[in-house]
Amino acid sequence: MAGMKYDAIVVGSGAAGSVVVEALSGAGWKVLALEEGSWYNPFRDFAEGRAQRIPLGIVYEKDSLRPNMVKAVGGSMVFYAGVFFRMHENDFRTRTRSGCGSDWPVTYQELAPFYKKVEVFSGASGSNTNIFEVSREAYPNPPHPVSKGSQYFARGARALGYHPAPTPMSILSRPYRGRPACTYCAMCGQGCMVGDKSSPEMTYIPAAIKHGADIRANHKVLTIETNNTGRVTGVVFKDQDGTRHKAHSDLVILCGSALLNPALLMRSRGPAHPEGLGARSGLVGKYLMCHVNGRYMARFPEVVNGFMGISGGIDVQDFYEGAPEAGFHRGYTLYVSLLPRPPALFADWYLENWGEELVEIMNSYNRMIRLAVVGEDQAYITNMVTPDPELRDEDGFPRPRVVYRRTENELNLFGHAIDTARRICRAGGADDWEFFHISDSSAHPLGTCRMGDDPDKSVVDRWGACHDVSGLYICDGSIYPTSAAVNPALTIMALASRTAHRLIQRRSS
Amino acid sequence: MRRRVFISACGVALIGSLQGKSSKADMDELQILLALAEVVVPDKDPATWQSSTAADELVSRWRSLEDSRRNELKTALQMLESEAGNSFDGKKFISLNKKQRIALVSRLLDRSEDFASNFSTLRPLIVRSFYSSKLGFERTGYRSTTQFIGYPEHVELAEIWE
Repeated sequence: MAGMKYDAIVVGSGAAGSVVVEALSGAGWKVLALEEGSWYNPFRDFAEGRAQRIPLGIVYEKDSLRPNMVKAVGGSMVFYAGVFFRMHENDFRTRTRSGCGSDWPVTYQELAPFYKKVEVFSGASGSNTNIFEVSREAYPNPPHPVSKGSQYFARGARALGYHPAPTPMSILSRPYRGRPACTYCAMCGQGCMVGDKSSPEMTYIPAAIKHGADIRANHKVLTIETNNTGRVTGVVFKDQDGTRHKAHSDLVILCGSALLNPALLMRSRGPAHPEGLGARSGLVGKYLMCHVNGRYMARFPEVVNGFMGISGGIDVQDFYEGAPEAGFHRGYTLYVSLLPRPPALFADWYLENWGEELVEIMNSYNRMIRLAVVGEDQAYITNMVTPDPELRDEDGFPRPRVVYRRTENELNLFGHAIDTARRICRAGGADDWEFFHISDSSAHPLGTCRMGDDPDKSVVDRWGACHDVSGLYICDGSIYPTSAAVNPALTIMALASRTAHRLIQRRSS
Repeated sequence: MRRRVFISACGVALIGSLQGKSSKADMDELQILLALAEVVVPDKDPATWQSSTAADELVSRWRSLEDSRRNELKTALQMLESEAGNSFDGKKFISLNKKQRIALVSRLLDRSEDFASNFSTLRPLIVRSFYSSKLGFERTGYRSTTQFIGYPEHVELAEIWE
């Protein structure tokens, strides 16, 4: 390995990394991708329950929300639900349109071709009937069948004058490019063993391998190296046996997530970057966002088997842009998701009841539906990932320490979302039993290396290029200036696709 | 008569599960645990916690606890026994009727932090046992969705993983 030279080195192989690796290797580049997590064989490991979520080694400050992700080839998407929303046009202009947050240096129109490209590659399923989205072309695949629970939800929403629409999914609704359609086994969260969920290990990673990309699991990047002029020269990494190596490239693309990127940048010090990489603005690690995530459960008169199917049915985005006088900025998406399952997990983790009260609830388990709330949280400079002053990882580096606290804004938003969920479900026929809670974790950590045109107020530019480190790009969820109110996977992939396209264009020219 | 069936069922479970190691104290504690399970997840079939897939599951989970953890939890079971004796003329917890058991558990949860702390482990143990069992699936209408006949036709991508 010593002395090996690559056209590009990609750190991480999740939503962003996999897209970049596929694109660059597809363009004939010699690409090395280094992934700290393991490589799962979906057809064996997921079917046999061998896949384990490896913790990131994050330290959480007391009272902090506990965002987390997964280390794996394919990243957190290996275990994600498959919800595949585009951001809305106004999400890119929240300062201008809503007077809060920051405008992105990228517009929806600039990103739209890359949204489409990723959707086509992934075989996204959906319907272009969501009136809150910009008019768009048809999805590559039709929406999934609507479950009985989603039908109740849609009926209630329509009764209140709202606009339910099929939730876009990166799960195949019909066979597509050699992969089978979904069997609705509801195992998406444990890793799709069928092959219909378009997570990177089923789509971009196999394609990148065919292109000749060198993808290495269980390889941890220790530092990004720079020379005396401050330019990137490669990375130092540790292989699965703990042996250290250096790989050379004048282009390093960081796709390690909002939680891990800051630590790597801060510990990558060089003669021209004594404070670490991207340190000029002082914003590396700052403005961590996690969404307002929560659940609402309701119960209907007949069996709906809400534990079967997929984690996205019907959504409502009528309060996506907020609600007047409601005490919060921006808004949220509500969508029908899967029930916590198996029932033992629901009874144990979610409920505190015992006795007849518990049994009464559990006996109606198959009549329940669960809604997911994804709300836009505001970017606060006090929410951040910083190096822990005391705790070190196995390589002697400070462990990332997360500080994230919600404000009244986020709590008001959640309260409004629950009220909307309640009204919709009751209008759809639900009885007065309900269960809801705001999540104290999040699989959507965003921000920490924000994108912007002003080098003093952002870490990377509109293309993901680090303002003050030549040859260093970042293109995952960490570059989000605002969080929007939809699941981030598709936008992360589209941003990565756009950055890769830019790099290829520049090299060609 | 029903109580005799209950003790007999527990005895069978214990003989099978604690063969060679069982003591009367172990058996008594298991009986109290199963009686507590009747309070935590009361089932329409009164024999559920005497002999069923749920009872088997609970005994199995109880046995697989680390000794130190199980010993901690035993103190909660002993508290139930002791409180039953004090409150109901020397009766054992397993001899109380349903209403008396519920009242006793509620009282201990209100008054004893130690009991409440151990109950926060015992409750999930019982709840998980019941709702992971075949009987629990039947009661909730849950159907496992992981039963695959075989792997799908997926040759092109599957080859990469071999």
